[in-house]
Amino acid sequence: MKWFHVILKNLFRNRRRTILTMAAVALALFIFTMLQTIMTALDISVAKGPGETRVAVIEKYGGPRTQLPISYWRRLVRFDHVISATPMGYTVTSVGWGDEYYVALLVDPETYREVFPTASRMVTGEQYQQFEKVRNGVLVGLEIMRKYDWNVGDIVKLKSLQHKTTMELQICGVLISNDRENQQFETQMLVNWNYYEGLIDNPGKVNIFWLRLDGPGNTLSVINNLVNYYSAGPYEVSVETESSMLNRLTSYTATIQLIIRVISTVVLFTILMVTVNTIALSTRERRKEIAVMKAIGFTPNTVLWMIVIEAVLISIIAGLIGTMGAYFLFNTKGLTISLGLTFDFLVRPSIVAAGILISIAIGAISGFIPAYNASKINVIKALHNL
Amino acid sequence: MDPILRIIHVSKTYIQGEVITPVLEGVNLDVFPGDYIALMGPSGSGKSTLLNIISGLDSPTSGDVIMNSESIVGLNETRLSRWRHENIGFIFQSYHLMPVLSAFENVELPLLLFEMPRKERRERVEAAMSIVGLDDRIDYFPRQLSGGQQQRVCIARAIITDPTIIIGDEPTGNLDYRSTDDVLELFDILNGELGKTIIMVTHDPHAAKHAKTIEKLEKGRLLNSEEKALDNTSDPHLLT
Repeated sequence: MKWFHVILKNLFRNRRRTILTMAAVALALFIFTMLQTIMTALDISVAKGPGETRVAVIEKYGGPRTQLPISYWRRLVRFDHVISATPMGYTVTSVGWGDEYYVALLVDPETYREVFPTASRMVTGEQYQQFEKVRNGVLVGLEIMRKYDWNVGDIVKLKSLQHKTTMELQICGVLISNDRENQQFETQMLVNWNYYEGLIDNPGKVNIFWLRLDGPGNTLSVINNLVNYYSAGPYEVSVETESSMLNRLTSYTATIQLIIRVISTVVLFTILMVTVNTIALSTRERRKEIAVMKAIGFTPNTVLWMIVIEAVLISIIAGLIGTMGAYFLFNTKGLTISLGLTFDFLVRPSIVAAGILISIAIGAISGFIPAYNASKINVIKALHNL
Repeated sequence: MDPILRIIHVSKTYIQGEVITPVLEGVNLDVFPGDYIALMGPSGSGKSTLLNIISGLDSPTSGDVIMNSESIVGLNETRLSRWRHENIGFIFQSYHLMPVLSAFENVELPLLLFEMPRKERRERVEAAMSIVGLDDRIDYFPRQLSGGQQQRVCIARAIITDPTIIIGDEPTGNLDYRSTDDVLELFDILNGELGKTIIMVTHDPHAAKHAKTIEKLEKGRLLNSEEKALDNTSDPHLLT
């Protein structure tokens, strides 16, 4: 393309405008990439895991916020196809008077390891044994350890927001994620459920019972058996697979995803309008130059392509900055949003590719209309006189 | 000798709603290789319209325009663009250089449409810039050049493709006294020494005096041609 340098020169004829347009497109693509990453993370969180071999038992009407009696635990492990069961609660805690909040999962160390083997492998075997032994033991995420300069063996005080109580915990180990999928654990803590029970006024209640099944083929029958069994009891239960449980805990993922889609569409459409306006303004300013080009032999198609390529260059450069910026922020800097769940905030290559393709489309669409109009410029009218 | 351009009974009428404005009526003109024609006439006489039709920027309402035995009337826009690229060199009153391109790049612009190696393009641009006397201003941008220098860059751009005809619409209209003489001298060289065919619209009798032929338009019709002997020794300013 011999006239590529002409396109480049036109691209930067008004540097401030070009840079501002690029910044706007880059920001839009950054937001798009971020939103898509969150959406993908929600999808992955819902879909991944051992899938249907882990089920959650919760109170039928109130969900995990309403508690079930601990006495259910002994009965649950006796159901067919149930390998293990573990109780789980959660509390939001703060360190000292600080305003940083962390999710502390209240777990029974011994059975937690049986049901969630991956999570328990984030500390050394020795540290996990210590966690099992020490009643007020706690496993703390690496990020929290670093932030407060804590060491294994330290005694730390954490306030529980729900029960207005203070826990005095001994750090038994550090939760270090070896893969990004479990990285949110580095901003969480695992506290011995038994210890926490001793601190509160109404012990003996559990938010969730997690069951590990012997295989995915029996999930449905286990769910039916459990629901039927407890239907006559004082606390009816709802049994959900891990994926549907995660759905519940992510505050209705589908709704969030819909909102994200709407926001993404609005952002992209808005930036499309901005780019159309910029390119139209730019071509209107050089009507005479375009007319001269046509007069000296540039065909309408060549003029059209030159302007479309110019628009695509603006958007693709900006798109690369936006998507790669998001990629760098999420993947290199390890930006995570801790919601107390298994969210995997990784910008996947497919999202980067989609972002770049969208930026090309924004450029092509926004450039086409002004380019078409420019290619149809009447030379005589544009120049008034030769 | 056969004419390179034939304007055959060309008429042009503009219709805007109910208003019908005839601009050209039955114009005939033959242009031969090496001609240097000045088109003169009062405002509204149809000079610019005729020039637009000759250069393929406008089409006649009736009649024909034939260049090198080929009619250009009825060609689509793309073919007309290619035809202009090969046959017409434009010199504009307001120069119309690209402000973001250097003098070199402005002159090179029409060559970009040819399949031509960069080295050859450079050689041709340098030669054209040398003809117009701006070989020392090759990397200057239009804003760094005077009006006369910009017009000379425009001339270099017009001759770079070695067109069949060079078209000038008031090429000295925006120039001062000294620059006007420089440009007209350049036209004399292009026509006299390099054999270029030039058709120029002008209001300026001094500029017209440089042409070999003056064609006068009045109310859309060509009057009698006046053969003018090129007299480079006469003082052109006496005519103004």
